[in-house]
Amino acid sequence: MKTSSPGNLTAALTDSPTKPAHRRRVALLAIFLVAWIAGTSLGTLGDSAPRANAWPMFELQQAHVGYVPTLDGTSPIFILFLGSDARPGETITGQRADSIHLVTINPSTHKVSILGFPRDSWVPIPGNGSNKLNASMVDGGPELTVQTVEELTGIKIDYWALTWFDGFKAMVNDVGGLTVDVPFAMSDPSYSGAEFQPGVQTLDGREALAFARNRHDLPTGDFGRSEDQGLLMTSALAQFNKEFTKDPSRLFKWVGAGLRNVRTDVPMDQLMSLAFTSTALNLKKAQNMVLPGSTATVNGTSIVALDEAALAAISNDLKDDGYVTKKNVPPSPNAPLTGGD
Amino acid sequence: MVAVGVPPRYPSGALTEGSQPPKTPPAVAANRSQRNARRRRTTPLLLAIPLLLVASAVGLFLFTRGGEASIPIPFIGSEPEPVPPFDFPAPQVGIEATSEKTDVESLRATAEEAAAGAVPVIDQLYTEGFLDPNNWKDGEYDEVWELFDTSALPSAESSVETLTLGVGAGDVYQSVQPEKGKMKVRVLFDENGEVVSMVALVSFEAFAAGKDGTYTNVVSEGQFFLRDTGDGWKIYSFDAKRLDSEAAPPKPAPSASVSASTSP
Repeated sequence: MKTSSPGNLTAALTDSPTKPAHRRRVALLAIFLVAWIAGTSLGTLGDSAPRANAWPMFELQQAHVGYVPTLDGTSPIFILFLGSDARPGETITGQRADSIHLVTINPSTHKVSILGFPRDSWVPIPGNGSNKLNASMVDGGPELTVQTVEELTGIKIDYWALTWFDGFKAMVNDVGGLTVDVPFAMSDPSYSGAEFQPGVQTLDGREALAFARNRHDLPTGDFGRSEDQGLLMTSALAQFNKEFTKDPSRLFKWVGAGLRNVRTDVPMDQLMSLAFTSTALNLKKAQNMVLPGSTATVNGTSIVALDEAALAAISNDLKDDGYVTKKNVPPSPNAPLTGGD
Repeated sequence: MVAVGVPPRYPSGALTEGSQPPKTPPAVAANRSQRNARRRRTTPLLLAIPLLLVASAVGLFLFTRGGEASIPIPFIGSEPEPVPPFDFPAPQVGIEATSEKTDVESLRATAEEAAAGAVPVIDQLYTEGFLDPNNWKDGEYDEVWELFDTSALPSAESSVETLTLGVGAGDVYQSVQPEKGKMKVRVLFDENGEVVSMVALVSFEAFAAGKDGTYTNVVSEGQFFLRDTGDGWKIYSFDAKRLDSEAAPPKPAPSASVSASTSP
């Protein structure tokens, strides 16, 4: 029996006298195949023992990825946040709105601005003549307050949300308290019950409500209080973002706590989108403002006469991109206490 | 099944003999033809013998080293590789109600039913993403991407190295076996007691043997938000981490003689 060594094979192939060129090609092909197979199989011999450099560099996976379905429109979203003066047993929507804030979110710039309206602002209320702004909710519920603010600012408001004393306390407690950097000392034991030293602290529902209600202890009264309420909102947003970053499932806790203690016309799917969008806000640039004005008297009633020029400038800025240009940002009502602008 | 008329890829008869009559060689050339025919038969035979021997040697070599075939050998029509079985255990279910009037426990049955819909999604995510060798050896994870909502899909696909074993896993790993998995599901309801969304909080570990002789603890932790798209539960938001670490080689199973020698 003949062996099949390459030499014998070559010799056997060259025996043919008819097509030597063809046979040489076949022989070369055969040799190439044998060399390739042998070489490849020999190349695997070393792999029976570990060879760290024989394979692509081994990289341990240590990575963090995510996707948050934020809204991507370029138009600002306007939401009117209202705080009802309703006491236990009273109809929430039929009382005065003693806390009125227009919150603007720009999904494309990730900016947020909060504009507080003094509750005593003397304004035209559609179909009801002129009155204090907070009376609009007594006249026609949150919808009329929205309509009043829309006519005042020229801004089309997308949604409203309304809470009340007990709802606010429960909401704060449901998320485990609110961490707030209290900007100055407060002592208002007779009215709101606010007793705070400045500094970062976690407030429970009762404390947060006291912080939000205190005006007797502030030099600018309701103006300063409105700014403090805005501070609670930015603090809540900051805490929500921090918790979401650490544990995204906390979003459900915040949505649940909010909806259990708020009346709103925001559809559920939009609310989820807004919640996810809020996680991407740049809170370092959050604006917390209060419309400026001066106190006056109408028919013996103390009111606030809004600064019309400031109102127009701020409204136009908000309509444009949801953010107020620096020159139009009004001075902080609590500046005398904080030493700021 | 809908039959669709497909145009032929080649002109009729191009690949077959067709109806042309066979060309018969002239009678005077018969002996030469027969010799040539014999040569044509013997040449492949001469080629085949050494090739068969070499192929046998290679096959024997690969067989005796435990099947660690490291050169790609195409097997046309080969059977899919078996997938290590893995299912997450029944999850702990949390409920988030959005109406202050709702008794949370009244939502329990609905929440558990919804969570049962999330479990197969997460099972598939990890089985197809980390365990199925038919996926990770090719670095293709189509069965993973179909679990994501269209809005989240681009981000998911660009996160392939974290959400799956990776596109190059076939070059790195020899085998992957599941170790353990844990899942919690939180269910968010609307004020009418309807499920709005779920979030699955997942931890998963597998043990991977590398082709370079090293071993890896493959660790994945993730949170996956799901909603019912009408086409089943889909992931519309996610947050996932890979925390892989080097692992010690598996301890060999103790043999009878070892047990006997260590016995007092």
